[in-house]
Amino acid sequence: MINKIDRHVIFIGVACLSGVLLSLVFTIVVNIIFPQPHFYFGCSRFVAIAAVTSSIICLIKYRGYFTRNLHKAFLLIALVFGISCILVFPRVVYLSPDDQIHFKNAYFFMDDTVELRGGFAAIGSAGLTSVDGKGFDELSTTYDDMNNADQTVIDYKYHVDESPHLYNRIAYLPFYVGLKVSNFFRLNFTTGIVIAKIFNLICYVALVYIAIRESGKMRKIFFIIGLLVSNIFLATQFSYDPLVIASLLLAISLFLHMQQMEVVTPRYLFGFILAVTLGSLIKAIYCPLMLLLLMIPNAKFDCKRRGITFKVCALLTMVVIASTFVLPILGGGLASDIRGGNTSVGGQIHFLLSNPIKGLAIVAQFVAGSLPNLTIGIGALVGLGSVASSAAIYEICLPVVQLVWGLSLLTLLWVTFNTGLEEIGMTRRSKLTVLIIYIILVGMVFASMYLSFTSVGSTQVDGIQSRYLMPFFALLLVLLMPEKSTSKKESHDKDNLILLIPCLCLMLVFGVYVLRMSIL
Amino acid sequence: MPTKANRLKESGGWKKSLTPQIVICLILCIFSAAMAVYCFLHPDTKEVSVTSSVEDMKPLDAVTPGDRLVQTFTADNNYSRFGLYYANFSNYIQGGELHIDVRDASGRVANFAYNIGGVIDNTFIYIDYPVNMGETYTLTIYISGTAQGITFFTTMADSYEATLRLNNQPQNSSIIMSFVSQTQDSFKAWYGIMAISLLFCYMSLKVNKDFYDK
Repeated sequence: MINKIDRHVIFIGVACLSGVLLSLVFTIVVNIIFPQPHFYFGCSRFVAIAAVTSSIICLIKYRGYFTRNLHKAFLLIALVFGISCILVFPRVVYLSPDDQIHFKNAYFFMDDTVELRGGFAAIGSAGLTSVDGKGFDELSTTYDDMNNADQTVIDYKYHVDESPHLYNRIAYLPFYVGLKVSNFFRLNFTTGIVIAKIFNLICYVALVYIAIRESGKMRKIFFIIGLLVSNIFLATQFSYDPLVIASLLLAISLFLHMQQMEVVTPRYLFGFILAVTLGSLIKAIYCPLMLLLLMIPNAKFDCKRRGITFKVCALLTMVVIASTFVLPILGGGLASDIRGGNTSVGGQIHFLLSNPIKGLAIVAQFVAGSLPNLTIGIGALVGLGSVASSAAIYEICLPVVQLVWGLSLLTLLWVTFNTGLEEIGMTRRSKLTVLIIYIILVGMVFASMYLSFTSVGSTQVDGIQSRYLMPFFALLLVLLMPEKSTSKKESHDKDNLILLIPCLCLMLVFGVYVLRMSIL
Repeated sequence: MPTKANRLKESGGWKKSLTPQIVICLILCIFSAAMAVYCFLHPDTKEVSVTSSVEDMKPLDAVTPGDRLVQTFTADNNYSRFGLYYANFSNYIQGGELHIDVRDASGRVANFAYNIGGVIDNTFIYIDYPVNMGETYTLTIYISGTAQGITFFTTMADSYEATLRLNNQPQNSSIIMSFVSQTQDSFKAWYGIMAISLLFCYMSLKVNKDFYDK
């Protein structure tokens, strides 16, 4: 007589075996239908397809359990798809925005004089153009070249323009740990890249897992945000955005949990502070998120004076974080970004102070015109960087990307409109406060790019990307929520859809990419 | 003694307030404050850079072995070193050297050579050569040992009285440059202040409720 646990173990084993068999069949079929000079097996592709297939089988079989435990569903889906994407996407930079810079920073981490090897230069120079049009088989040859180049030491110094402050470098800790682990086991250069990315992915998944678990009635929304294709893609690349997005999602989740509590506990309050601090130390423009604490009534503290004292201390912390970008501006030490052209922080400030109304009108007009696309456009929800825009992939990927975008947006909006403010412990009045905080955050993002990345006196703001607005995307959804929930009761079928649609979106993108790369 | 502290002392409430957690936090606060003051009074030295004004930034045509770039500029201040904005068309260049000869106003020449394979695309190559305010320098740039080309980003803006010639042909732009100088930096004090603010947040939550009573 097989007991219940043994049955589950057996089923999971069968699912894994099925995944392996399906992956093997795929490998053989592709080699037969699209013959290559030699039979190409591709370990990475094999493992990725097996893992994805097995996880989907388990997800469907145990959908009831995962629907009740969305945080565990997120753990499974994000890890499996994330690691699979890391294995199959090219192991080069210039895939996601500024990844060549983040890769360098991860390498140097705490020591600006670390000895560098040729693999570093190879990956720093070899962008997607050097791998575009290459299938998995040819890519493995490119990786061999990089690994061979890594046998030599190069003379490269980390220069003044590149060296971030100590508090910024915390974002690269997961990458650095991954690279160190790889060095310890004497793995080759490209495998080290994979390990480093996996460690960053794990950090992202861990933080979002906690965020979903603590978000209460908003767990479905956090689940969908955490599994957006653009967020999972960034979490698989050299980028500090995943850590920022995850920590600020966690902060918002803890805040919402506290809204639903009768008496707030120190654990959640200090957890909120730490989460906002982590995200803001990497990018200080997000520090106004600390203002959410002002929305917690003092009556929710065990003592009114404690509430006031804590809020004052939290605001002090926010000011200290904000000083990291305010003081350099005042001291003239904040460098503009040369990639924006004729940029000058001092010049732009002078322009704004000389023409305050005009400056405000420029930023406001641009925000109004571009905000919808930046928050819910294709780039925001299904951003795949250079991967989807490479010549070999683009035409096939585009219809899939559009379909995935439509599915993601519809699911997000549907869940948002079916969640009431009452359920998350908020009122119409608190919605107004959230709106003010949201406007402040959006304003900070646009203003920072106008100062540092836009030519002096320009009538538009250059360099704004959707990933800058993603950390507080959940606040926008709160603003769209009705006062009362429109759904009378939970529906299992609808919950299954919420579980499976994000997974389907990731599967479509992953599947199309793997198929296309297999036949190149 | 302040009234509240007096009340705490008389009622014995101070013992309740000074739990081990609070004591440790207070010790850490004092340590952080001392560290912040020390860092403020004994600042580090850090490097800051200023870059050419950028107008209509674009790369030169590929510079291959046999080509000669000659850029002159006049330093507007004393700098410890300077950099040139380099690019390699996103190609990994194996082998080869980038040579930069710096001639000062008195005719002395300093030669610098860099392994091109170790130079990263779209970054500044820094030359460890101090320049003095008001003096004019001439850079001669060429590559050897590789058939692949490299390039530099240029600007139309008139910065540092810079002029550029490519194979003796005058250009209407100049290579974007960055100049580095040393400055004092007491930013490390910020870490002490940040630690104190976080400790205050923690203490405000952990201190005994009696501390807040009237």
